[in-house]
Parts: sequence; structure tokens; C-alpha cells
Amino acid sequence: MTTTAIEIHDLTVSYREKPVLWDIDATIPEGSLCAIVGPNGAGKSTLLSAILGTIHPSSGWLKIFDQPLEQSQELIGFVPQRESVDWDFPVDVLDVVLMGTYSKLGWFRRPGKVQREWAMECLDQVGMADLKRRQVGELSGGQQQRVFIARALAQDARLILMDEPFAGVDAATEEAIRQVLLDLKNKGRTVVLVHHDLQTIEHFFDHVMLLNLRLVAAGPTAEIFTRENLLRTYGGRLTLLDEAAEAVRRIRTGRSRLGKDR
Amino acid sequence: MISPNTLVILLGTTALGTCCGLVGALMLLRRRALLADAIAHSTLPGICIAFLIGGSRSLPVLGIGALLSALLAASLVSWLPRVTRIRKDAATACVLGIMFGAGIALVGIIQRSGMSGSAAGLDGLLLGRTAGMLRSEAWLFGISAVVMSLIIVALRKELLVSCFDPRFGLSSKIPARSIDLLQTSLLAATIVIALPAVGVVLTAALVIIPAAAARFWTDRFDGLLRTSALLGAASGIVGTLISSLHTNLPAGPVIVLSATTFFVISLLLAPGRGWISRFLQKRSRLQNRQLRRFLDGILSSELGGSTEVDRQRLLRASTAQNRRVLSNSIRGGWVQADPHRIQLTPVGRQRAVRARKALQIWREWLTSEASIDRDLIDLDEQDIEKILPPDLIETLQKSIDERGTS
Amino acid sequence: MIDNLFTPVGWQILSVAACASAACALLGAQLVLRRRAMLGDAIAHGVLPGLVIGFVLSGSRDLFPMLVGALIAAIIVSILAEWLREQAGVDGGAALGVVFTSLFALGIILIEIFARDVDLDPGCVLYGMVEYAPIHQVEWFGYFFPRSLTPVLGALLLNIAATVIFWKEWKLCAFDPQLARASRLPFRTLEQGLLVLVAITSVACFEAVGSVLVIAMIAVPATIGHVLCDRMSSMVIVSTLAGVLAAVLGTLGAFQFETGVPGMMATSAGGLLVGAVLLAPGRGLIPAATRRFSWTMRVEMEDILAESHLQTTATPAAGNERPDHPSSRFMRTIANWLLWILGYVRNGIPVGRGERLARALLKKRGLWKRFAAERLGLAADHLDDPAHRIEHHLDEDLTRRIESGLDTEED
Repeated sequence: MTTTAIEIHDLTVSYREKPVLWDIDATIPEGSLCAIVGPNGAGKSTLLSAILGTIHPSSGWLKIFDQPLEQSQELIGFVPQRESVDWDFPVDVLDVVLMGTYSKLGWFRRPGKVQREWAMECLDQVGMADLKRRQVGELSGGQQQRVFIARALAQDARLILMDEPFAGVDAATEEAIRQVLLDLKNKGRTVVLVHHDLQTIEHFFDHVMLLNLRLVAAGPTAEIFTRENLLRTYGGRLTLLDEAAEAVRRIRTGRSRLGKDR
Repeated sequence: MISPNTLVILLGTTALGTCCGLVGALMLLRRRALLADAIAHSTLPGICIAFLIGGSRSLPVLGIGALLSALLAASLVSWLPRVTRIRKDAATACVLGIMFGAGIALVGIIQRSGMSGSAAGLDGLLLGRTAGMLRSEAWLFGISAVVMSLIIVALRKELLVSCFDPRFGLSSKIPARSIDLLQTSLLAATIVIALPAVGVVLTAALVIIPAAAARFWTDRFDGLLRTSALLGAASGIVGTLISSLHTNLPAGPVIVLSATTFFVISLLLAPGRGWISRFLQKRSRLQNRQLRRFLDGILSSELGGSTEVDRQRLLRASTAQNRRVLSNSIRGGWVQADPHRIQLTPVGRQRAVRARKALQIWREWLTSEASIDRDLIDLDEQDIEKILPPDLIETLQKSIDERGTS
Repeated sequence: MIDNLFTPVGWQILSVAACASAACALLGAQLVLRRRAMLGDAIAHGVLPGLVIGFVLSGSRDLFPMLVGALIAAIIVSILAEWLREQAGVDGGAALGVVFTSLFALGIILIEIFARDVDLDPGCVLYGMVEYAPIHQVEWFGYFFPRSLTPVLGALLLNIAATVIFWKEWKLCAFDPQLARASRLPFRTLEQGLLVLVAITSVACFEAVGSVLVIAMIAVPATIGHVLCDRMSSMVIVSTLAGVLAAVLGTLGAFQFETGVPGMMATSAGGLLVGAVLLAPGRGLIPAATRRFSWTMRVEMEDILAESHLQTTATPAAGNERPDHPSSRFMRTIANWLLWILGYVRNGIPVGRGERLARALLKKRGLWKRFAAERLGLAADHLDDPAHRIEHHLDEDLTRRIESGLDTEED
């Protein structure tokens, strides 16, 4: 039997009176790898913020591990969207990962040797231990993403939220993130992430939420990730998306064939 | 009752208010409101240097100095964030602090170099002295303000493009750079004109406040310009009149406080965007939503077989919010309740069925169009039935029914 | 001129000025990191009515009532601006602008109204009275200190304590507010606390150095720190040192030019900022320009060498023509001069080291083209352009690795 990690009931979030999320009801079981999928502006990041408790819903409620969000002391790991980070901020890689340990440290205490070693361990997991003294702005996009994943690991939370971790990263980073996700899943952690690449969802995630302001469907990938539901999420634009994906595939295969011929 | 002298000042401040309102609207749209503050403070060193070079207090000489150092400040504020990691806010604050500080230092030098008699006037620039405005100065302000207002009106199309989307301006035929420069020059010139009347800090207020107040009344570019100019002029008039009645009140701050009063009135009372109207809208929408969900919940359980809902069960699962909805819906006559059970009244049932059907249709339509226009979501059943044409409703209903049977 | 500082008067002025600017710089670092540098300006102006009311109600020049009044005003500034932005949808900058300018206007009106009863000069709030520091003195432990040192030093110690105690919390709040809120930190309290400290510091510094200096010293030293540093600890330290340095230079300048200390401090802080922007190691404007220039020179010189080498040794092979670089004729001319001065080219022919460089470049070009064709599968007509660009970036190590990589392929 599985317990629920997140329970969302009748959630509506408005930004200046205009709803960004509308009547969301969903549950995400513990230990699942859940992808939130939907077109741009569908409120995916807003949903993550609502789960984090950083925005107040205009109606409805959320429970994290059967505790109402306001009372929950549960730590939530969080990987922000790359665009939302201030990369000029004077911190180095290790500093950022150490931030993950702050909330367990409590007031007044500085991260010490134990925390440092733990942070290095987390950095090692994403293959970034060598770059621990770099300022975060000097890293490549994929490396930056990995630093934040390491920070989420350092938080050692039961529930981890990631906002588009795969957006614009290189192949090595993508592989590193996948490995981290699988590890987390094996440890029984719940990971919820906003995802864009429809191709990889079926093989990788066991849970999906299809979102387009309202919840189109949510549940196990096998049941929910159907063409009809996707159509309902992306509307007429899915065909466009299909065409684009097909075109990309053709170009890729065409190119690789060209390479072999020569 | 109004002396001729007051009348001249009145004309001057009205023109000034109009001009500040217009420029302020442009700055507000470009999210550069605080630039006005930085520029106003930065005029001081220019004025001092002009005074040291020109050796006189004549307004045109000081004005040119002020204008040049204002332009320097504005270009520094826009240039620094582009070439360094300094952000816009820090650039604004730094330029303001450094140039104002340099100005204060220069004032000190002037005062100690024996020109203190004539330097007293420079000190006055900090806080302004509307009451002592000379007739010729009032005319000068008035005429320049009118000229600048005319420039803004004539170039409104180009200004609109550069305010709305600077990059689009760059790609289209409109010379974005020169428009940008023009805007900054307009701001600088406005501030320089306003300085002697209201002083360094309060000039920024005259630029920022009317525009921010006007934003509550309108969503349109022209409307914003017009309202902002109007509010600026009104602040000028009201402030000047009040300060002419109470001789010990300096006009500059009174003008600013009248503008603030207009701002507060707009903030609270403006229809649509004003706080009170938004608060009421929000509350009624929330109540409608809750009621709809509540009635729908009862309807579902009634359709599920039970003819009435166990009141205890409902209350146990609910929050204070739900209890309020319950009492509201009893008062509205939508449900009837005895200590143990809750039941929809016929009217309530009718409303719940209608709401459910409308929502279903609406979702169907959203799905087929995948429209994510936020204005069109979270509507009441009345709105939905109003928006969709009847034949479309029929088609949608049909497709829902088909899916239900298949 | 330096000996002015070593007089008792110089020391006393300098101690007040340095403490004040260090106190402001410490908080400024936090504000700059939060992109809220203008808040210093807003609070410095907005506290005026609070000061006046405190002054009028207590009827004395005591610091405490003015401090309380100013604190309340400062909190009103920050809360109102925040509320206008979040609840009423006013643009952030405009919200701040509306609030603090209105309060300042109110303050001036209050001064005018009570001008007869009290002796408070707006100018004194603006410029402070640091020059009079040596006149009013207090005795501590048998030594005499300027009276205005007390509040300033108090503010400095308070800010140091807060920076140390809330170090990691403030860092997290500034870097990633979302995570800070999600980690159940009292985010709002921490941020409001920072604003309260800004208010306390402004007020404590007013009497000593005036609001002009508060505005400048909150923004400028912290910006210097931000430009120069890559870690928050070094940024805070550099900011504070920059503040103190500005105080020293400002005091000296004030003696030199016989003007007010605050104005000169702001000016010298400006000078330091200009220096930092121009010279910051790595990203200063001058190092960056030098780097760009020397890179362009290197590319130009290598290209010229390779071209002339090809012309002298053989007929230009297809694909070796120089692509149309968008480089300027000016740069080309300078590169030609440089080559002649260095003795790499004589009579248009690469000689000595110049020849070796040309050979090395041509070898890299060929190597890269082979690598791109065999390993990356690029089409033949796409090879030249990247090769002409990449050849300049290949260092020895990379060249060797590509070479060995191609060899193993063939084995």
C-alpha cells in the first residue's frame, strides 16, 4: 500500500484576480516520479509554487503527507527554473549546495565539517565535485542545473519539486539527472517535476499530471498518457507538435545516415 | 480673491503639472519611475558647475548645466547595467547618491568661496520656492511645459511603440534609439523646469504620482496620458490654491500632497482597478464559486442515489469556510437543512443542474479550442450561456452525450 | 594634506564618518543583492516626517524619540510600498516612489508648520553635522569622544551582529526567496528585520552625516563589492572596506577643498566605483577590452601569417581562402604593424617564428577539417567556415588529443 505524498483539493490560484490554476483535484502517491505536463502558460510552475507554499491559493487546500500545508513542517526539496536564478550572485558551487542543509541546521549554526562532507557527496552524485569553488555564473547551463539538483539532494527531503530540470541541458547533464531521479525513486522519495519532452515521459515517469489551467487528467502514466488526453491538453496544437517532432526526427536520422555514408 | 501674482503662479504650476503627468506616464510604462528621482538629484552638480563657470544665477545658464548633468545621469543609469554586472536598481541608486553628493560638495565649495550671497539661491533649489516664483519664470515654465506636451502628443505613436515593446521598435522602421533619447531628454527637461518650483526630491514626486494614480483609471495608452496629465494639472491647481490661502505652507510639498490625495482616491475608488471595487469583485466571485461547488457536491451525492446528505458527515469533512457556504446557501434558499440532513430545494437543484451543464459545455469548448485565455475562465453559468452561441452549445452538448454513451 | 587626519579634529571627524559609512555599507550589500538598492534612498527620504513628529512630541533633540518616529515612518514606507505592489498592482518602482516622496513632502510641511516651535533645519537632515563632531564631546573611560559617535557606532555594531547572526538565513533569502519560504524560514520577518535595520542605521547616521551620505553609502560601496567579488563573504568585507576608504578619502578631500565631508565622501565613493568598474580583474571594462583586443590581434596576425605563407609556398589550395570575417581594416593594419615590429614578417613573407606559427596554424586547420569530417560527420561544404574559426581556439593539448584520436580511428 502507498500513502499519498501530495493531495490537492479544489485548488484555484489567481494572479490579480485572473485564475492561473482552476479547480485542481489530484493526488500523487508517495514514491512516485510524477511529471507535470502542459503547454506554456498552463500554470505548471504555479502549481509547484502552491505545493511549496510560496503562493496562497484563492480557494482549496493542499496536504503534504496527510498534513495540511500550513501546518506541515515537512521539508520540500526544490530545484528552481534556471531563468529565475540570479547568476551574478556572489556564491560558489559549494555554497549553493550547502544552502540545502540550512533548514536542518536551525538558527545561528553555521554549516560545519559534517555538512560540507555531505554537500560534497551530493555534488559528487551529479559529477560536479571538481568545480566546487566556481562562481555559479561561470558554469555552463547544464552544470548550473546539476548544482541545483545537488542542492535538492542535500536537502534530503522526502518530496522534491523540480521546475523544468531538463530544459536546455547537454546530454551529459540529462543522463546525470536521469540517474539521480532513478536513485531517488529507489530510495522511495517522491519527485514531482515540470517536463516538456513528451517523447520521454512514457518510459520514465510512472505518474503524469496533464495541466492546462484546469487539470485535464492525472494518474498512472499507462492509463493517463493517451493521445486523446494529450489532445485535450494541447488542443489543436498537438498536431503541430507532432509534426515538429516528426520533422526533427527526420532531420536527425537523415543527418546520421549522411555521416555513415561518407 | 486671487491676486494677479497668484494667477500667474497658478498658470505656471498647472502647465508644469500637465507636463510632469505626461512624462510620468511614459516613464511608468517603461518601468523607470525611479529614474525621475535619480535624475532630479543628479541635476545639482550640473547647476553648481554652471554657476561656477557662468558666475550668475540666471535661470537659462543654470538650466543648461542641470540639463547636461541630468542627461549624463540618465545615460549612466542605462549604460552601466549593459556593460557590467551592476543591476538597474543599483545603478540608479549609485548615480543618484554619487551625483547628489558631488553636488552637495560643490555647494559647500561655492558657499565657502565668498559667493555665499548668491549661492543661497542654489540651496533653495533643493526644496523649491514656488511662492517666490517670478512672473517671468512662471511664463518660462508655462511655455516650456506647453511645448513639451505638444511634442509628446505629436509623437505619441512612436512613444507608444517604444514603451510597449522596445525591441519591436528596434526591428521596425521607428528609430528606437532616438526615441529613447528623446524620452530621456523630455524627462530631463521636465525635471529641470520643475526644479526651481518644487525642488529636487519633490520633482520626482510630481512625475511619479499622477501617472501611478492614472494607472488605476485606464488600460489604454492615450487614456493614461490624458488622465495622468489631468491629474498632474489638478494637483498643480489645488496645491497652489491651498498654499496661497495658508501663507506658511510652501507650495511644492502641498502640490505633491494633493497629488498623493488624488492617488489615494484613485487607489480606493477607481472602478475596475480600484481596491474597493476589486475587493468586492473578488469576494462575490469567491462566494459564487464556493456556492457552485457546494451545490454541485450535493447534487452529485443525490444523483449517486442518496436523496439527502448527512449534515454531520459534510461538516466533519469541512472547514469554517464550508460552514459559511452552508449558511449562505440556506439563507439564499438553495438548500434546506435540518439538524441531520441537507437537501437541495427545487430552486437549488435547478441552479446546480444548470451550473453543472454549463460548466461541462464550457470545458468541452475549452478543450476543443484549448484556449487558455484567462479572462474566459472561471465564469458563472450565466456568463457561459451568454458567451457561447446557442447552436455551439447544442453541438458541444451532443459531443458530450456521445462520449457519455460510447 | 594627510597630516590633517592626524590632528584630533581630523581623527574625530574620520571616526564618525568611517563608522557611519561602514554601517551603511554592510546593509547596502544585503540590499544590492536583493535588487533593492533604491530602498536606501526611499527610507532616507521617507523617515523625515517621523523624525519631525518625534522631535515635536518630545520637544528635544534627544535621539531616542526621533529614532522611534523615524523607525515607524520607515516601516510605513516599506510596508506600504510592498502592499501597493502586491495588492494594488502598482509597478514596484512607482509604488516606492509614490510612498517616499509623499512622506518627504509631508515632512517638509510639518517642519514649516512647527518651524516656530522647534529648531529643525531641513538642511541639517540633508547634510548632517559631521564637521561639528569635535565640538560636542562625551567622556568614556577618561577619553573624549565626539558625541555623535555613539549612535553611529551603535548602528555599526548592531549591523555587524545582525550580519553575522543571520548570515546564512539572509543569504538564502537573497539568493532563492522561494526556497527560503519553502524551508519554513520566517521569510517576511527576516526581510522586514533588514528594513528595520536600514531605518535604524539611516536615523543614527542622519545627525552625524546626513541623508545624502546614507543614500550614497548604502548603494555605492555595496555595488563596488558586487562588481569585484564572487563570494558573499568577500563582497561584504570589500563593501565595508570600500565604505571606510571612501570615508578617509572624503575627509581628506573635505579638508583639501574646504567643503562638507558627506558630499566629498559620496564623491570619493563614486571615484572608487569608477575604478572598480574599469579595473575589476577579469570583468572590468579595461581588462575585458584588452582581452578582446589581444584576441582579435592574435586571430588577425595568425590569419595574415597563414595567408602569406600559403602564397609564398604554393598556389592557394581550395578551401584555404580566408572567409569574409567581419573584422575591420583598422585591426588588420595594426596587426600588420605588430607582425613587422615583432620581426615575424619581412617583405610580406613569414620568417623565423612567424613561419613556424603559420605552419602550426595550417596544420591545425587541416586536422580540424579531418576531425570534423570523419568524427562529426559534417558535410564538406560546411567544413571551411568552422575550421577558420576553431583553428585559433585549439591549444597544444587539444591538438594532440585530436591527432591521437584520429590515429586510433585509423588503426
